Amino acid sequence: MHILMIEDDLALGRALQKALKTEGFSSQWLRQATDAPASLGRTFADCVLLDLSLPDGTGFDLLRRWRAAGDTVPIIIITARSAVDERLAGLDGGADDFLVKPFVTAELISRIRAVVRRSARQASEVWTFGPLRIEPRRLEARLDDRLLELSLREFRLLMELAREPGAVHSKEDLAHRLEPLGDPVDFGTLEIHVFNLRRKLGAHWVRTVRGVGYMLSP
Amino acid sequence: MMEALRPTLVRRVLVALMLAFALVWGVLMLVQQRDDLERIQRDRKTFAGALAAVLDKAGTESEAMGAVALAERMANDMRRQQGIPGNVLLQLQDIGTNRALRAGVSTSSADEVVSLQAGRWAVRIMVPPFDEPRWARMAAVDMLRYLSIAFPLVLLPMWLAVSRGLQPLKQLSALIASRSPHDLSPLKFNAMHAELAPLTSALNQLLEQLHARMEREHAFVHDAAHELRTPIAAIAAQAHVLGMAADPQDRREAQAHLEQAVTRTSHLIQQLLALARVDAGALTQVAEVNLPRLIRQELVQASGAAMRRSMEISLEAPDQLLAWVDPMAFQSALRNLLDNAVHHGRDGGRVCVRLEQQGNIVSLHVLDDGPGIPASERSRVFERFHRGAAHDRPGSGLGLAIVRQAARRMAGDVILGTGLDGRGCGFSITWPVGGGQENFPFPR
Repeated sequence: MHILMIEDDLALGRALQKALKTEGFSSQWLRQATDAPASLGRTFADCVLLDLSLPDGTGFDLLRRWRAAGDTVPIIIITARSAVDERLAGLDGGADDFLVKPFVTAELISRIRAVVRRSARQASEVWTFGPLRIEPRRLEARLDDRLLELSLREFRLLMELAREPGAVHSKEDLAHRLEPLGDPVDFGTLEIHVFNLRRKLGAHWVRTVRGVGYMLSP
Repeated sequence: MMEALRPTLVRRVLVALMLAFALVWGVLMLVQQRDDLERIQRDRKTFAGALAAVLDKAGTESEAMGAVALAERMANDMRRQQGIPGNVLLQLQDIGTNRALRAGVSTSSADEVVSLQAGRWAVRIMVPPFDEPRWARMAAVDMLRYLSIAFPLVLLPMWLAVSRGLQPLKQLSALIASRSPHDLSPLKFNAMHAELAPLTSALNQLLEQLHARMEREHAFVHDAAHELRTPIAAIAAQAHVLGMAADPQDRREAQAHLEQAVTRTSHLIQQLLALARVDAGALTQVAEVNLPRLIRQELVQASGAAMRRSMEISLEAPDQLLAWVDPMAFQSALRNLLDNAVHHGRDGGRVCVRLEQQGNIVSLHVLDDGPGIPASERSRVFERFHRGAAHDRPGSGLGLAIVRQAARRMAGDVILGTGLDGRGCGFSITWPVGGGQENFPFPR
């Protein structure tokens, strides 16, 4: 796997590059935002490590520019600033994950792998979780090869939960995603959809975290 | 020029005094007019009465005519002397023969008429109407004379009093200006005038607060640097061990320990920054927030660690609860409580978060069913850098100090009670939510 790293600090950059090499990644290390390519498509990078606290303060602009250009390469932001709004702004701006310095290198490596895995899964035609197969483009889901009869909303719900299996999705997030273009559904309606999905899929597939949200547990 | 036109207290007093005099002038004029009109009526009555008495004794026409002519001349002479224009006209009639002995045509149709009768004679006295503008002019000028004598006599003492009164204020300014910028000790100023006492005491209170805050900040920096020594010493030691490790197994172990030490230090740094942020000092940034939504976001974040320990988290809250809060303070408090509950709870245990509102008091509860905190430590648990006696999971000792400071920042407080099923810990933060941003109480 090939990593593009934008990091200005010499010591940190050097250490990370060595660590990546040990783990079997190849990497390209740039020290300034101005050296970064306008589009990620040509760099053949599987993942980008972007330090937001670059001295010329252009980390965010880079992130925005790439996403605006339609690049879907997974990006992990690393930053020394831990303010909550920074984190949210980074994720809202299109980053896939967020790490605060100092971090343990092993953590970074596992996050890189997770983010690449997730991106690969989402880009693929079929998402597989054991006996469950979801084909996002054909709006079809199968359990043990049997086609599931799901309404459009139920399918969307399943897809959102499947984006990050084993992680909790809050009620608000799901409510928004079930109606991406309109007003979010109310929580009562969401519960009904979850109930129906459980009925069709099997109760153990969708776990409720009471008051918080739901989770796909394959 | 603008400097000269800025309002000054002294000029204000001057203007107020002039307005007061103008008001007095107006009122006195009205009073004077009423008095004068009364006097005029009285004088007329007297005049008519005297003429009637004389006519009573008049037997013949010529006596009566003589008396009336004389009275008319006297009345008009007096008018001339007082400078009143216009003439009084007297008409005489014999009632017996009904003959007008003295007619006369007045020049004005607005004349007032006074009629009297004495014996066989009837007299009509025609008086020109009261010339109000002329009277007003004359009365005004008269009054002005008196008032302009009074004005400087009143102004002078007032001016002196006000000027002298402002002296202490000038002295206070000079006193403050002469202090060194590092001097935050209370002002020693004896405010003689009652009005200046609140100013000096407010200033002294402000100085005291500044002084306290600076001391707190110094103490914080000192404590923080001190607290960082130990974890960094651990890192140094582990790095040394790593360097000496002979076989791969030893190396892996030493590396793991080293990374743990780094994580601990990193966590401590996070906490120090969070504590600095919620420490009283920086201005509170208030926003209207949907609290359950914020809580859900935090719970989603915490769910990773919770699931790794097979813990079950839940939230009891209305779907929506809008409140004006400091979002950063709220988030810091909740995050620390959740971290504590997940770290110190038992494997497979429960963590329950509750949010409720009664009137304008909102309360947030985080309860767990873990081992809890022994009674002997409960009172000290919110102190900075206080770590529990039995801690197998090392912490910074700052989490609960951050929670308390954040709660206070929201003008509320945090208390420790029982957790779930009568065991574990139950932390409750309560704080008032104002009716709007303008009602937001100042944090302590």
